[in-house]
Amino acid sequence: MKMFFEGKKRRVEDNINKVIENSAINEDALFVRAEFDPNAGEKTGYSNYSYWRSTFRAFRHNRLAMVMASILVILVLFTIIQPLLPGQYDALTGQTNPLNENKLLSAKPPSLSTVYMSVPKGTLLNAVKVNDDWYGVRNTLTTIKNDPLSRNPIKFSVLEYGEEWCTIRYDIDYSGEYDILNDGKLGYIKRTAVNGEAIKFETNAKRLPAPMPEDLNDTPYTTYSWQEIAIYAEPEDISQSGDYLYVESEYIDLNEDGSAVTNADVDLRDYPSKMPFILGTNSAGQDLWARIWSGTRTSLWIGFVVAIFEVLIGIIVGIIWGYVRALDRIITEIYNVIDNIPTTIILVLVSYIMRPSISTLIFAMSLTRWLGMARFIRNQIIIIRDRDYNLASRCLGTEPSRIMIKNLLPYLVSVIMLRMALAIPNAIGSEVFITYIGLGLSVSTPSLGNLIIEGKSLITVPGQQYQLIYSSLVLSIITISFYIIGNAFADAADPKNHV
Amino acid sequence: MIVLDVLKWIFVDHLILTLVILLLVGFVFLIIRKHLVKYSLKRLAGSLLTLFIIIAVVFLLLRNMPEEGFIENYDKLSKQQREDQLRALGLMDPIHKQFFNFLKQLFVNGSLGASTKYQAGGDVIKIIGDKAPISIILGVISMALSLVMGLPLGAAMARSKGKFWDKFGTAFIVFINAVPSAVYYIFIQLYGTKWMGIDLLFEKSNWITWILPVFSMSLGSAASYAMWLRRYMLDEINKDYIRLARAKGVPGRSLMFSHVFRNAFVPMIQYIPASLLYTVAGSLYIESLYSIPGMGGLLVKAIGLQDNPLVQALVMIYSCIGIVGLLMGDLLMAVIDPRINFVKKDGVR
Repeated sequence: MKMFFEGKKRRVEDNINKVIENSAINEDALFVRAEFDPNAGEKTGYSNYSYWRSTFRAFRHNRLAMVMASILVILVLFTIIQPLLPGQYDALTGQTNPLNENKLLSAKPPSLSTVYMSVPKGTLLNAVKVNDDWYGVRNTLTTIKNDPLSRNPIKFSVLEYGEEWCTIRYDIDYSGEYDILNDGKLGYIKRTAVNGEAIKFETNAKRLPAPMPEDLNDTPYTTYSWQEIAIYAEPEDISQSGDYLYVESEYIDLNEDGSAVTNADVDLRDYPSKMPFILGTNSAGQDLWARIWSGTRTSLWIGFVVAIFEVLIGIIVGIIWGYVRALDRIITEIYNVIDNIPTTIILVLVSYIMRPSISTLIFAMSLTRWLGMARFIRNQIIIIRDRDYNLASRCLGTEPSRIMIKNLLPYLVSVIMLRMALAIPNAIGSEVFITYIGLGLSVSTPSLGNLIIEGKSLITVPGQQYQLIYSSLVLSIITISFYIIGNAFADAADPKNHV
Repeated sequence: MIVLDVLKWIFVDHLILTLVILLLVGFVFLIIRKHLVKYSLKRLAGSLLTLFIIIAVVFLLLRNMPEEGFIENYDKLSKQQREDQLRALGLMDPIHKQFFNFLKQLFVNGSLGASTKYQAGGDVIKIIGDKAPISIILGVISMALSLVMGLPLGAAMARSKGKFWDKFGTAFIVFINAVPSAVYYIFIQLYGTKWMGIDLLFEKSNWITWILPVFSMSLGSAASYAMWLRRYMLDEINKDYIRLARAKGVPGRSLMFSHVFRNAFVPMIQYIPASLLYTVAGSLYIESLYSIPGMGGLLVKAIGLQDNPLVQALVMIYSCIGIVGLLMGDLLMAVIDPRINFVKKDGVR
């Protein structure tokens, strides 16, 4: 072929030279010899068509896909930077209430604020230090314990017997040496006790009988209590159960006896942090917000790696399968064998045989997914490889690698993008499945599958459905956007759709 | 229930017989169209080879599992007792001998071995036989429902391309395909039972409790039927013979159903035998969500218990179903569509 072209060229040149020699025209006067310029060579076939520009133009016309793409970009970026943001909880630490170490902040419903209530300036509170920044407060001054062995019940005077609150004077260390009605400390007690029963100022007949008036409203009178009674500084129970609320140390002034007074209108919080559990916590007290983003990271990572493996293996096998004719039969037979086994079975079997971990999941999913890709690429290559423009390229001596990149690849980009985009929803779905049957990741590696299954086990518990709903919502947004974007991009990247 | 008994007789007690009969019926059709015989025999041989490879691979893989999966009360036994039991089960033999014994047992006695943990000593085939009928019934009903929902939806989408039904159907298909089925199954169960005011769990005698499992099970295949039917019908609508028919004055409705739909349905036929056979496997999600005593959770339970013979039997059965389903689908296509022939075209590069 080369000889032929060279030979011909020489003949044509000779002819031209002969003609020039024979004619009497001075050639140099008529023509200026052009310098060699590789760019000018390209100009002959100039068109402003650019594959990627056309692809993006077509993609931009699909409004839904653009919306989905922007949502997805924001979501993925947020997932990546979320652990770097200030004040985020750790996905794995069960949050505890610092003044009650054993009490996990478990199954807390979602809220956007940590503020439990606000109290005005000058409220008297009983304060306990948590750390330099936070104090635990409650407005009970003290609690009268029901001590069955004690012969000395708390003696107090009722100044006013109200509907809900009774105003009293009391002294815990009272030894009977002064008039409690006038000199005791002022406090309030609630008529309804913790268990909902009204406090009765009853006396235990076997013990010290308390002086009781006929009519309890006939104040003032002095009596005893054998019941556990919390005494409040104000006629208000700020934390219902008597638990501590939390306040920043700068907003309270400490008194000498451990009590504190607020120096401004302040917010009292459920736990010592300004950062709320936006999506609540799970049963182990772990922040659901952090877990969802951590799970999204895990699932997206699995999806991306599976997609990359699928594309790499799929392209390599597919190109060999389609381009090398001698191997076509063998690979087709192998493909038929593997393709006949249901993918779920392979997935389950591999996860069963190997230890559950992220790499096991990736391996099990990659094991079957490349098959479809390879087959599609093989079919495409068989269709395209012998088209006339490729034959022409081959005749002109174009390298096979250049044929593949310039002639074949643009036809395959659409399917590669589609398969990559669909690999992610698929991988997430497979991960949910594997977790569902108990072969997935452990709870210490949050993933969307984990979260869904964890939420699923709580659907019958009233008030706990948020755990399932938020995880499902994030998962659905991710899978649906990848699906729509993948399809829209595949359409846009198909050169047949470029006008 | 007589239906249950009949189905059990067909699919469970005589599964192999049924499959053979179905294949024979297929071949009778093929003999009428002689040029397909060679293709079918070749295809059958390929399937048998595949089946053999799968059985061998699964067998070898499960031989490498920890040995406690083969013996019951493993923890209570001494080392000597364990070895005795393993020897009695033939697991101390060289691997090729084990495989030969397994094949011999399979073909001579029709036995897939005995369960070790799930029902200690119970015949694997019997365990499956007790579980399969309810899965099959649920599966067949939901398949019928998915055809009833999916085909009209697909046809409506193709007829009103770009209008309401097309958009609605596309949204439905995208949702079902993109979101993992576990998620919407859970929500259907949660809100469906609340809305209908019934118990969360399935009860065989109460027909109302059948509705939600069957409905959720049919959604996936309904979406895929609608998607493919739409695509094939649109391909068909753009063909010249339809344009001719329209020009000739064939009314739209009969054009759609007697020309477009019938031709578009042909490529979908090949998936129907496989999906019919797969009803045996049950739906794992549905059956565990509604606690239906079917096949769905059996493989998972067997895996959880490390009951290796049962796992092996189930994996083999499922692969077998898959292969036979594909084979029957291809043969059915060839029988139904006279345009398909497998004569090699010469001169094709």
